[in-house]
Amino acid sequence: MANLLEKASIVLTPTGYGEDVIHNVKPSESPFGDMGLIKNGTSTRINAEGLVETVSAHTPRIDYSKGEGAILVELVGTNQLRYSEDLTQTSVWGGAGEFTSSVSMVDPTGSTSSVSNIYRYSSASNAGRFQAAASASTGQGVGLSAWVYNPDGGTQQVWIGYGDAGSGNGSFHSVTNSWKRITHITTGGVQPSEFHIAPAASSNLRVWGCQFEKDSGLGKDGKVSSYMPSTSGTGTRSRDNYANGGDAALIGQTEGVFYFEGASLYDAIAGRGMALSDGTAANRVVIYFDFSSQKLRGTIRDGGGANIAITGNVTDQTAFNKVAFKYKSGDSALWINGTEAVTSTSTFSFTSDLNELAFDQGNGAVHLEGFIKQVVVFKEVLSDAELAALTS
Amino acid sequence: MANSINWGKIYESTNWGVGVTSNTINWGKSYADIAETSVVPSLLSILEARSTYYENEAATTTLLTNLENIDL
Repeated sequence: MANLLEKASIVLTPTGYGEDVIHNVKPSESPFGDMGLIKNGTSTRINAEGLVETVSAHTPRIDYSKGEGAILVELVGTNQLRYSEDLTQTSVWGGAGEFTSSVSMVDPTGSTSSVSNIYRYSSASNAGRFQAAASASTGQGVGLSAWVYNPDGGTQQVWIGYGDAGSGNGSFHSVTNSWKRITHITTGGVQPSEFHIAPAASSNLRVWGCQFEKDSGLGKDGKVSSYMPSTSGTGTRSRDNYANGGDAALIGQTEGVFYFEGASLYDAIAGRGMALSDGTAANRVVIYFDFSSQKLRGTIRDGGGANIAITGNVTDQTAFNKVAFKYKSGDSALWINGTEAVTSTSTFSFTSDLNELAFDQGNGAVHLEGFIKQVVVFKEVLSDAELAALTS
Repeated sequence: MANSINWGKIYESTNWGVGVTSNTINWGKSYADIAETSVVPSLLSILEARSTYYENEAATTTLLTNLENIDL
């Protein structure tokens, strides 16, 4: 009898990393099966102290924005706002019923810098600070975000939206005297073109790190991803390409269990996968955050034409879920949060070795987008009791 | 807590040795080989040694210990 840590052939956690690589805890000797990371340009994360931190190119990001450390995996993004940290720049920022100035204080990075203070003297519903997006939405979902701080004491209601408060296109958020990232996402196929933020009437508000980002697809809900700072031009982020992990000796070729604990960045805009594969789409075992809301999907394909897909339900794709995909010809199952959600008796036989672990669907497409707390690979199937315990 | 009273104080030093896995003396060392100990510290030590950046150790220890505790 062996425990699951002994049985696991690969264990990946958000712990050890270096440039170009995220290290597995297990195996602890070569071949380590570490996944490589290709990511051009800098990006940001929320570090263990809760501060915004710039991360170098090709370096994994352990992000704590969900309250626990997780590997942050994202797609390419663009902040459509210019001067995201300086709302006094009148070449792009405008205002109504307010006065904006610069003040020195500790910003969300933990450093003392010049941040913007908006004082709203008008109670008119159109009062606030705004900027037209460099590229407006033509029906793509939009995510709006900003860090805000109330210097006046107590709590004030702050508006963030793609129009002023009178338009109703946004939301109010309670803000106190600590930095807080407030967000608003669009739903359906609206066409936002503006970022708008407003303190309560007769109040000051410190603002830093404004962001307007739009999805690539039409008619989807918006999403808010990691912060992309900007100055005179838009801010950008490259995709996290995690691939080339694993090894044929570490992956079960006829049966096994592919387990992860993680949360999607959003619910159901697109499919987002992680795979054990032969490096192509021909032979693979994939777990997807499904493009349908509140669903997770397991897919098996072999080079002989088998195409098995089973789908289970979750309450929330953006919450941390524990998912184990047991794959064995004629006896596959998707276990989700302690329960055998769905099974399959379909048969398959891989025609080439599964030799790669990647945060995509096996062929370098449909990349993962979310927060990963652990990935574990077992070369043999586990018992129902073990799968229940693993996913609970 | 340091033992300073009555019977307990006697056992601060006996021929049974000190500790379990690190016990190298007398009767006690015979238990080192059969003691159930976690491999988690060793795995993390190896991981840290080959990492440029290393963090989130407490949460990782919890995750790995949970796996280790599933022994059905």
